[in-house]
Amino acid sequence: MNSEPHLEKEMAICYNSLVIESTTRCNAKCAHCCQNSGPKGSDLWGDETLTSEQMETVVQDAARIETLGKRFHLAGGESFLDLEGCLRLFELAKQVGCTEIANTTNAFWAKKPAKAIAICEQMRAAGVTRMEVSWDYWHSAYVSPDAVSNCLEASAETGIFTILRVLTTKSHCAPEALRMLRTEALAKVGSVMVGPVFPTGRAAQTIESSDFFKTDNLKGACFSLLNLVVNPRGNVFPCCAGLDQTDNLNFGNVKNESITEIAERMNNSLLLRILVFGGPSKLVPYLRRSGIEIEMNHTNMCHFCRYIFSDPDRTRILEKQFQRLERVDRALRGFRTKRDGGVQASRE
Amino acid sequence: MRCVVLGQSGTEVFKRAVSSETQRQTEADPGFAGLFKNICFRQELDEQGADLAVPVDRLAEWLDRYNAWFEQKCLSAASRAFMITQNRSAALTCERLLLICDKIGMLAEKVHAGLMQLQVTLDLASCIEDRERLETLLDTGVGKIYLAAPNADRKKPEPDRCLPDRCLSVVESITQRNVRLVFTGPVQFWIESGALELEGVNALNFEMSPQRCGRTGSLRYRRPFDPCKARFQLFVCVDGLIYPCDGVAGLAHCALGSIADDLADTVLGSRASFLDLKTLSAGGPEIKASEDLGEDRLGDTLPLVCRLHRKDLLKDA
Repeated sequence: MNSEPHLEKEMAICYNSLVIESTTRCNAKCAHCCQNSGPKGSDLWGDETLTSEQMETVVQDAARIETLGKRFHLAGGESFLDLEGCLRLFELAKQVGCTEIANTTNAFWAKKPAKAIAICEQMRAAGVTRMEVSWDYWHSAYVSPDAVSNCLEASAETGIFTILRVLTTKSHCAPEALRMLRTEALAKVGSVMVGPVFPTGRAAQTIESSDFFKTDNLKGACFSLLNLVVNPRGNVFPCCAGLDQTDNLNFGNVKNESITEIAERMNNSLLLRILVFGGPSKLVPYLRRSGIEIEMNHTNMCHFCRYIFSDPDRTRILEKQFQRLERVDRALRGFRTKRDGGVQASRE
Repeated sequence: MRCVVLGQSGTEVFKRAVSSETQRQTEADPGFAGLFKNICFRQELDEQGADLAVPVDRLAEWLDRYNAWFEQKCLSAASRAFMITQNRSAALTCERLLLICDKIGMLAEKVHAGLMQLQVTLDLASCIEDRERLETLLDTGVGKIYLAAPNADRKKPEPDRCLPDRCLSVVESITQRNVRLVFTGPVQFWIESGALELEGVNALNFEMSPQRCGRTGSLRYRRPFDPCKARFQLFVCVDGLIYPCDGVAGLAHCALGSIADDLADTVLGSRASFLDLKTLSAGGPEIKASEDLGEDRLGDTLPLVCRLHRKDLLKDA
C-alpha cells in the first residue's frame, strides 16, 4: 500500500464557519485597514453592500454544506451600520441550526452605556454568542475608547462572550491601545487577541514599511483554519485573512449562483487544494518555473498568499498550470478505471 | 485504500498514514467523537509531589487508546479515505506542574502522536524560580502556554518575586521557542510588567485571557440560546473520570466513563448517557433552577447558565 496519498486531490476542504462581509462601508477610515474601508466604501471597490435577500439566501443555502461547521460570523466594513439587518441575519442563523453566532464591530454604536446594553440585549435575543471588537491605536482616531469599554461591559452583562482584537506594529504595541480602555471593562473581556498589522490594503500606503513585523518563515498550511467567506461584492473565498480582498482568484459569486455550487467548485479546484493543504509556499515552484520572480519577505503565510493572488499575472499563470494538471489527472483516472475494470472482468 | 490523518498546530502541519487495522475497524457514524475536539487533563500533584494524581503513564496509556479510537470513529464517513483532525489540542492544568516537568515528555509524545497541540498552564512565579525546569518543559514541544499572573486571586501581587526584568526574561524565553503565549489574569498586571511591549511578543500572535483565573464577573443568563458545543471538551479529572465539560466536573452521574474503562464501555462508546449530549450541544441546557446560586464551590469561574445547569444536576445526583 502506498502510504503517501494524493491528499491534495481527494480530501474534502472543510470550513469552520460561514463568514459574510456585508459591506465595504465603515464609519471609520483607519490607516491600517486591510479592507480599505471607509464611509464611502472601499478605496478600491467603492460602496459594495450585499442585500438582505442575498445574505439570507446564503445563510439558508450554506446550512446544507456538509463540510461547513455550524458557526456564523458577520463582518464588514462595519456591518452594524445596518443594525436591523444584522439582527435578522442572526435570527436566521439560529433558525438554521448555527450553534455559534458571532460578529465583528468597532463598537461605534456603544457611545452611551444604556444604548450599549439595549443593543447587546437585542443581539443576545437574536442568538449572538460572541462579539469580536476591533480596537487599536488606529481605531482610536474614529471610535472613542469609552464606546469600546461600554461595549465590552454591556456584552458581559448580557451574556455575550467578547474577543478584543488588537493589531500592532513596532511603534504601536498592544499596551498603547489597552491603556485607553477602562480597567473594569478589560476585566470583563473574554479574550484579547493581538497580532501584527499586515502591510496590505490601506496599511501598505500609510504605514512605513520598516514599522511592520516581518518573518522569513512562510511555510505552513491553513486547511484547519478555513472559513467559507462571502465578501461584500458577493465573491466567495476559503478565508477572510486577505485572499477575500483580491479580485483575481474567482470561484463564483452568490449573486449569480448558490453558495453550495460554489463550495463544490472550490472543493474540485486542484489549485485551491494545493494552496490550503500544502500552503502558499507550495505554489512558489510553479511560479518560478514560469519565470516569475517572487518576493519572500512577508508578515506571514496569509500575507504571502494575498501577495500571490493580488497580481493578475501570477494568478493567471497558476490557474493555467493547474488546469493542465487537472486535465492530466482526469485522463489518468480514466485510464486507471478502464484498466482496473479490465482486470476485474478477466478475473470474473 | 490509502489513508492519512492530518493535524495542525498553529500553521505547522503533521500528517501520517493510518494503519490498515484502523481502517478495517472504521465505523460509518462518528457518534459522540465529533462533539469533542479537545481534551483537558485537569490534574493536581499527588501527595509526594512526584507525579500527577492520575499518574502520567496512565494518562499516556489512555491517550494512546483514545487516539486509536478517535481515528476509527472520525475517518471520513464519505470516502473512508482521509480525515482532518483540525486544530485539536490536549491541555494539562496542574498547580506546580514544573515539579514534574521530566514526566511530561511521555504525555507530550502521545499528544503529538494524536496530532494535537499540547497546552499547559503555568504560573509566572514558578517559571521565574525554576528556569531550568521551564526549559525542560519547553523541550517537550509544548505548543501553547497559559501564563498566569502572580496571585491573580489576591489583590496584591508579589513584587519582589516577579520583578519586571525576571518576568520579561521568562516571556522572552518562551516566545523564542515559538510557543504561543496566553497571558492570563489581570490585563493591568501584564501591561505594567512590560511584557506586552517586547518586540518578540508583538511580532507573533498572542492572547490574553483575563478571566481564566480569578473572578470573572459572571456572564448573565438572559436568553435560552446557549449551545454547549463551544464548551464541550473531554475533561479528565483527578479521580480518572471523564466529563463532557468543566461545568459538570465532579458530578459522577454526568461522567462519560473512566480512563480505566475500555472506550467502548463508556458513553463515547455504547453506554447510555445521563446527559442528552446532542441536545446540549445544539441548544444548551433547559434551566429549571432559580438564579439564586447560594454557595457554589465553582464560584464565578463558569458562565451563569453553566452554574444554573450544574445546580439542576446536583438535585439529580
